[in-house]
Amino acid sequence: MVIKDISHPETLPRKHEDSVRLAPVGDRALAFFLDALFFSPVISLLAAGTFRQVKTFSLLNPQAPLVMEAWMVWALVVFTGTWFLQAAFYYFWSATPGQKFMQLRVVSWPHPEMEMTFSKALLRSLLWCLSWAFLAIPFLELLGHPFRRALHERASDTLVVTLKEGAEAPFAFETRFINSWINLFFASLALLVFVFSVSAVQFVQGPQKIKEVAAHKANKDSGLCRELKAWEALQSSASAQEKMDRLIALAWANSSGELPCAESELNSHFWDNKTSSQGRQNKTSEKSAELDAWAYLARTVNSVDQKSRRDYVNKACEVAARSEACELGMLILEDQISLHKLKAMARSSLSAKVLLIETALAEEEVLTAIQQLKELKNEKLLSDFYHKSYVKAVWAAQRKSDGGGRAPSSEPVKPASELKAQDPVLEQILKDFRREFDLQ
Amino acid sequence: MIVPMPVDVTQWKQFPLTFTLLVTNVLIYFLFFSAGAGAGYHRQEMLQPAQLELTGYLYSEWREAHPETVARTPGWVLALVPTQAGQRQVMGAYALRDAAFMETATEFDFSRGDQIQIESWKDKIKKYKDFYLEQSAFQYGINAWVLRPFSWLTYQFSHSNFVHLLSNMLFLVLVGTAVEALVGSAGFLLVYILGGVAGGLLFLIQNTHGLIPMIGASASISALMGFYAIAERRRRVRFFYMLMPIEKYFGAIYLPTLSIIPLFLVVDLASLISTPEGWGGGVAYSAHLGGAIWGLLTGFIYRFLRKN
Repeated sequence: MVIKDISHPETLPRKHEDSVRLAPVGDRALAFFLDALFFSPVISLLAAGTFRQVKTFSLLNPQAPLVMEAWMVWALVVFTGTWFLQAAFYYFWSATPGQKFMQLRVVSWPHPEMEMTFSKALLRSLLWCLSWAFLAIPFLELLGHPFRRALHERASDTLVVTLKEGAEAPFAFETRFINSWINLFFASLALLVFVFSVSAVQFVQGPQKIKEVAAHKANKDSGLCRELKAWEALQSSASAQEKMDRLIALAWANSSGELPCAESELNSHFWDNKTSSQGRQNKTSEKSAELDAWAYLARTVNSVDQKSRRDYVNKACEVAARSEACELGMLILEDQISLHKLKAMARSSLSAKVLLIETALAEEEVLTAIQQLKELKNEKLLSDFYHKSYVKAVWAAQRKSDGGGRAPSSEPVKPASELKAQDPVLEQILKDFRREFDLQ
Repeated sequence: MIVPMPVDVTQWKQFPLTFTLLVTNVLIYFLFFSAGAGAGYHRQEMLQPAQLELTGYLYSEWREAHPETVARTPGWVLALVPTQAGQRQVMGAYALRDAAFMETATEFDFSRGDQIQIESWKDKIKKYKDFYLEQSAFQYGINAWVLRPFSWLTYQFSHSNFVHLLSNMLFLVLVGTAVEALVGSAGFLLVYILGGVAGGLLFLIQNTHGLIPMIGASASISALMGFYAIAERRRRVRFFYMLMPIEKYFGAIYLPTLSIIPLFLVVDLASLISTPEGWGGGVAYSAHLGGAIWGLLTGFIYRFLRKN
């Protein structure tokens, strides 16, 4: 594929043209392949230290800007190493190892008798390296140029010649070779464009998708956890024990009895919190022991079986035998929870209060439940629990006054106007309920 | 792709030892390792993220109580921050490779943290250790934790998977036949077996506290390659290359024997340097280099003896 350019001086006959044997493209391709084989290990060795840094930084924190910087340093080392190594070979031996093996030489042009200067070698090598940054497109020129000179050769006034006798270009094999490589190149380019387009689309959609996933995850995460975090942000002066108590209360108030964020909160306490057990050197203070006891009790929240719950309660009691956490823990393990004990604890513990309300409702101790619920009225963290439990209490009150058994939860809720009670105390409860929820 | 193919390997009767070793390796693989040297390993509970995090926590406490380990711990491990979940997992994964930690963790008194979780973790780590010790790779491989006398030999004939076996056997045949043709079976065996020992030695020097066993014939084959590169330094030997699997794009090329060094051995050196210490990528580059050094040394000795 020789494109004649009649304006170009190189196409005009020159005296020494016959003595210059152009290097066949096939030989140059093989020389490049050999150079890649030999240079790659050497450049890898030169850049090994920087690549190690890239791997280390990626390991420590893949998102850190330092990772990108390390990659750039690595790329710079590879580029510079290749540039200077190649230039050195051009200057000292007029050929790279692969070219030497294929009996090719790089000579000055149009004056081959002149020596290859170091600046020419540097320039040729620099532009050769930069051509790869442009997807190797500048190299295509050597297929069409009459003297097989691409940009890096024309800019540096050099030419690749062969020392082989009787070599002439192009010949049949070379033509086929060139054609097949051109086809391969354009196929690769098409694939690259396709991959790039897909990546670009994903890149544009990426931030939106990340937001959607994060939003979905946030929705999936318990709203209770968000509320807990909001409460902690507002009540920054609350003690660690208070926070632990609220965590348990929140979990017990949740109908499933679980709290997704409890795990991370508790891990943070046990492993990161310096106010927890002081470690091998210091003795555990009473305060931190009590806090640990609460933390162990909180572990029962996400425990999968009764055995692990028992183990955690026992551990809480082992750490602080007279703590409220131990007492509460022992209560939850009992088959029949004592309301009397819970009432005493509910004065100081929110989780005990929640447990008391649940137990009172289960045993239809409506007055006890209502009394405790009134104290929860201003607890924003438990507003959901408050409302649900209040309704349950009112219906329990209604059932009691009707003298009936427990109503199935699938029964539709009666309008407030239909609610009546014969007992004056229960009637007062209903009045309060209507006033509370603005029902008539 | 380019591989050395110095001799006509189809004349297998001329290379009895090479092909004996080939058959031995293949037989051993199918008898002992075909189920996978680490079958079921990745399903182990200790390797799940939650357990790795917990292990990371415990490892940081254990290290605080063992300040003597700081000197031998890689810098990047010391830089890990236990309070970050991702880095905790990395630390946990490293801990499972630390022989000293694995040896003493079940008896160590971890005073910080959830004691119930710790007791449960100790049970799990015991089971993990038992599982690990039963693996074929551990039984026949070479590692710093449990070093048996016969491991120096058995590891050279053990392979983790079929691709590992195939790649090693390919090079064994290509280079081993050339070496056997040059120095005979006795010389070949000397280079091969002691090259493996040298590779194992360098591996242990580089992994004094590592738990991961090394298996494979790579060190022995590196020794053969190093030997051949020096012993036949001035020759041009045939390499088989393939650019594309179509006519005229593959064939033979005659390159100097010394080209084996940059093509294979320098790559191993670069890979070793570029891998963070204590964090292997599944390839024991130090073993390759150990074998190669032995091969180069014996190559020089051979040339000296031949000259005299």
